[in-house]
Amino acid sequence: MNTFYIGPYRQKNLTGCLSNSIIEYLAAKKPSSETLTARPIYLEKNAKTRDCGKAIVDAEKTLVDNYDLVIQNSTLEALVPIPNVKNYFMPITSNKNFSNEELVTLHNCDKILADNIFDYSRFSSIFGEQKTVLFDYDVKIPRDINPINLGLYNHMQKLYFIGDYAKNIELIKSLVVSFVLFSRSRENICIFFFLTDQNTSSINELKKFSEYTYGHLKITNSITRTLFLNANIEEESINQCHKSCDIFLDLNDDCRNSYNRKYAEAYGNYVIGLEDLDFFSIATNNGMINENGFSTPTPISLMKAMENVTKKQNAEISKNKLETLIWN
Amino acid sequence: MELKKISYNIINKVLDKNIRILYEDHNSLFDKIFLTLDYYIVNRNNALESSFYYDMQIINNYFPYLNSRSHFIYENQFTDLVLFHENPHGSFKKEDKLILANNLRTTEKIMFLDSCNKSWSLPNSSVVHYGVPVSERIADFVSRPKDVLILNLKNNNQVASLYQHIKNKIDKTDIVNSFSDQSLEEVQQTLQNYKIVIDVDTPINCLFATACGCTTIINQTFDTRLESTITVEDFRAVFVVIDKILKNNMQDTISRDIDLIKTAYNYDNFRSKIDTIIRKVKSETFVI
Repeated sequence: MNTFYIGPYRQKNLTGCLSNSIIEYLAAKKPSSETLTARPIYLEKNAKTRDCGKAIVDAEKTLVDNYDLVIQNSTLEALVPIPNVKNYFMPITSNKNFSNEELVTLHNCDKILADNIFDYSRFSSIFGEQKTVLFDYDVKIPRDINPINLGLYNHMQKLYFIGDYAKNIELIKSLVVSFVLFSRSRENICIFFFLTDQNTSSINELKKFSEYTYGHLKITNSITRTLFLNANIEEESINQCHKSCDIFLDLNDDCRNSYNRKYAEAYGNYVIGLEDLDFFSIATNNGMINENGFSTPTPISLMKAMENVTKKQNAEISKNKLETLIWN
Repeated sequence: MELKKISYNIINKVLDKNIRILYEDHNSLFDKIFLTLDYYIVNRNNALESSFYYDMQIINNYFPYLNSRSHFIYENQFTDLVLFHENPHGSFKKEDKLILANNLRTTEKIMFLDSCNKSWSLPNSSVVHYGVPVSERIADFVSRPKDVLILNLKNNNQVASLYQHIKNKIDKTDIVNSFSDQSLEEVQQTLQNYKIVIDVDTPINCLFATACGCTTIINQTFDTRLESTITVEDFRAVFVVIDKILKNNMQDTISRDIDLIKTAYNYDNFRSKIDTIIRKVKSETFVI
């Protein structure tokens, strides 16, 4: 069987990291009798790019006469119909609601392969469980990763978020508000925002916003418990974040993506996802709907999620290993 | 960015065996030769709005690469192939050459003349000598009804003035600004009406005209090894040269040059070498 994968694996951002992990995983699991061809797509203008390992470079050099399956790991906007070849779509989505126009293009796909429960639920509710599949894959945990020395915070329980500031502004600010409200009656807990767009002015802006929130709510702390750090999207840096913290907030507004959740779970961290939270409804809080159509998570639901996180059950929906969906 | 168009380009480059090329004109007779190759070739000027997909872009001009890789390529995400027809311009600085070499480091390049390759010295360049189709029947030199044809395919005002100048003294003189409406065979037929072709642009025009049995007058030296080509550095001397050619039967010299073209500028060899490179570019992955 000849498989052709197209995805943003050369982009140095979260969607690129996931795509890179998927193609690395497929290359490792591919039976020797099968071929795997890969080609990158750059979904963002002026995207930062990355070099790839040997397995991916080999897949980029592969070209065969006929293909049996094409996997498009891209956005709905980039999805194209492919006649006469089995066509799987691995969606790259945000929290934004789909337009009807976008959904129409999905009728041309044979299967929709979702890497996270949020997307799986959304797509399976429209296209059914026959067509929508939740897939699973493994990420490699590098050896010898040293945790970040967080000083005073080393012994605190640490929530953490990883993502671009520019693409998650509303979400990050609402998380700050929720955390400030949630943590006022709790000691020994803090929240880290690892910001991957590495913009010092964003960090200063968020520090000011955090100070304003504490001031506005008349909460005083001896030490700051909302922390903003620049983070590199390199594998080592991402691993350090996961190794150093405890409860991962898998809530990014710009991309629904299992990449960081995978690493968080691999390090034994708890994960709070969209499925664990309630949001202010349009009726009660019209002003807090962000441009993506999502409202702010309620502090109460964040608190509940925090409390529940230790009791969290595994998802009931069964996952399929990606290689069995392709080569079995 | 039109992401659907980009997806189409990437996917079809892998799935479709046909080769689809977005081609930027050279405004020379090379365009006529290139369009005879067995690919789907679409002129870039006509294609920007089209929803057609392409495997590569072929560009006859290195200038867009002096600043960065062509913006258009980022927008469409397909590989490019740059063709070099001439030596670096006199005003071209060493630094410019370094910038160009860096911006073209991952881009496939073809040099059509040995001297061109030597003077550019760009890495990852292939030398493919021009291939010029030769008609089976070529009109005799003496039987040609007209004397001089001036090629002005890049619409140069000085060339237009030169035409007026020559036309005043030699009545059977014409100028042509474009062959866009003619097929390669029709261009060959047109050129065979003239004894002399004057061109100031590019060696391929000179080779093409020679393959049609014309004596050529040019204003710069190219390493084409053609005996019947005369270089005139000062166009005040052009009348002396034209007069000399018209008074002599150049048939033997031209015949030797046509034999040279059939071997040194063999069209089939050219097709085959270009095809190898184009297939290589088709199979390459576009990486920023």
